[in-house]
Amino acid sequence: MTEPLLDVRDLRVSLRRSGREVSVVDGVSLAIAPGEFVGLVGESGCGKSMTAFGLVNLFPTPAAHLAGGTVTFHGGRRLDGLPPAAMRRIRGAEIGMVFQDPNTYLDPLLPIGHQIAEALREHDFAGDVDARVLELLTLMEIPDPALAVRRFPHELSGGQRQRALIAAALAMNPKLLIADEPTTALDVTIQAAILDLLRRLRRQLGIGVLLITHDLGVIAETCDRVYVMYAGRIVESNTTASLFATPRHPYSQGLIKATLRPDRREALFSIPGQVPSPDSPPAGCRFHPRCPIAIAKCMGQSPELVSYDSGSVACHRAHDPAARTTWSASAA
Amino acid sequence: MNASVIAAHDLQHVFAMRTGLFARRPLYALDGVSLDLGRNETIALVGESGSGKTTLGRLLVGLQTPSRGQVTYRGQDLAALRGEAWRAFRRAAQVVFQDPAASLNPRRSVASAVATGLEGHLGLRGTALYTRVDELLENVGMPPAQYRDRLPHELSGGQRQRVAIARAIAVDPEVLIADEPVSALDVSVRAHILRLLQRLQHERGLACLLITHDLGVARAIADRVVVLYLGRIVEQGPAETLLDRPRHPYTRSLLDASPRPDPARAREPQAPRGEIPSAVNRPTGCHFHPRCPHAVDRCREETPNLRSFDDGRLAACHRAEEL
Repeated sequence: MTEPLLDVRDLRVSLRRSGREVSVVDGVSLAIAPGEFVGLVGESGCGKSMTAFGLVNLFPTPAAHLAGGTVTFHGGRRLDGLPPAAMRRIRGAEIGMVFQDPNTYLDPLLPIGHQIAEALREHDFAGDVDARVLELLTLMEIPDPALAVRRFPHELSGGQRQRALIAAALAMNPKLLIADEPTTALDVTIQAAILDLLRRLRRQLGIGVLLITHDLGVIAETCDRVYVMYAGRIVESNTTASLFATPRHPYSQGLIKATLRPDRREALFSIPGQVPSPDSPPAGCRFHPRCPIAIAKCMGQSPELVSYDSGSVACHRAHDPAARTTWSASAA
Repeated sequence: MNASVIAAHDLQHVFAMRTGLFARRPLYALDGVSLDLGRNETIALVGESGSGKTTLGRLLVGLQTPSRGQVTYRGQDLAALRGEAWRAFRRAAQVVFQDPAASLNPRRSVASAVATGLEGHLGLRGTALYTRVDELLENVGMPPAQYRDRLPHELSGGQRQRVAIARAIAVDPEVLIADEPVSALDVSVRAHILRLLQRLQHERGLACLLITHDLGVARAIADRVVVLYLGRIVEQGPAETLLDRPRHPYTRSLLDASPRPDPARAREPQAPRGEIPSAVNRPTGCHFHPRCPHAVDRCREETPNLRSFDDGRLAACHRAEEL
């Protein structure tokens, strides 16, 4: 890989919960190349969003904080340990962020043009702010941009609100866009249009994208590469094509098998059990209580992430032929 | 097709939508919808937000009264049911909603949530009541000894949805309406809940209406699929043929937009065009024509009727044969 746009090593995030430190992100390493579309997938409670918040050191709750690791951004700058003011300048200007529910992030009392302009002024945009807002709305394919700037959030559809938020996130021409479940609350048709938009923006603007989702279908349609996260750790990563063709980790295999397909009827499959609470993660491989091929070693010893071909996997049995078809015997 | 348990006859439902200080315009949530739901079958009702799916569900269980048309339960008009007959219907038709957290009382235990209908509708008390509650929890895969006394916040989303389902089937309904029952759940547990619904439907011969925007969910458990667009049925038929070879361009565009775990798939770019218009401002002719890649002049002028095809399908498209 060329010089990565973002290089994260051994990232750790903890929550203070009734006087205890609880680890929610436990040594995550990931890299995004310039212009690369990277997915981070896993069930709710695996630490995906906390990883994203950790990258920019901005948490929704004061109980969460960085507990270790390094985050190196474009040009070799370290983001971890950056003073808040310096971090604020990078957030929004060089790293844009989009979240699941646009309603939470748009002020209902201000026209959307105003809100996008605010993102520009906050970062001392040098050019013509009004012209830039129009340009952004046009880029987002919002109909009648000249009229749309004066519209309030409630006058727009859910899809248009999400476009307006993406416009604000991209206002300063960031090099990286972090999108956390950006289409989960939307209809499939709107989802397809927003994913098309993200793909086009990546091509047109050459930005790197980190897409966080629990939906492997969405990953398959957009990403170049995928990281699979389970209980605070990365358990597998690969190019999207290889991950779907030959998933190595039993968890990745289970997620793919559980995805419902509209184009063919398959036996309903779900992974037994549930994501462990970060208060008391299982010993050894954290997936072992749910894994049908777990052996004694899996219960006692945590597997390292080991590289092979284009990917890497953290499973003691990854090279055992039985691990290719983990779920085939189970009717679950 | 067996006899229908619940049926909609030419339903129209209109809301008055405020469009100005004094101005009100009619919003056609449903317009001329007819549907039969039979014993022992699952119909998936699909379409985008604003297509009228939830309104149809509410009319079918009598939570709202249609502006025009009838809903019948075993041949009787719902609007004419009174007293005991109405209570019997309310027991026979149960609903499971999308967000189990919002439909369960946060301060009442799992057992007490399931017991509500048993006390109210069946008059069960004491040991009989608690034996029945335990059976129901067992039946939805929640060992009673472990879960009976838990509060909703101590459960996962999937477990809360199981409790909501146990509560719905407690009173032995004939009709179960599930409104987006798995949309709020993780992909990994959706199958648990769908399999549970499927098993209960078979065991009890339920008439099941599954409201979903997810064609993958429809494909997984529905016998028939009904596609709604702006308050009208645009296509309906057996799940397999409809999803394999959609006849209506709207169904096709929904399918095309649905993500699949298949990186090699070539998706048609940017289908469908634009967004669903407001029901206050319905396009003329075929409501779908502004978004349809195949629309001709006739589609702008003339509303297509729902026509039967020999593969057991109904479709409302002027060009269904050629496409």
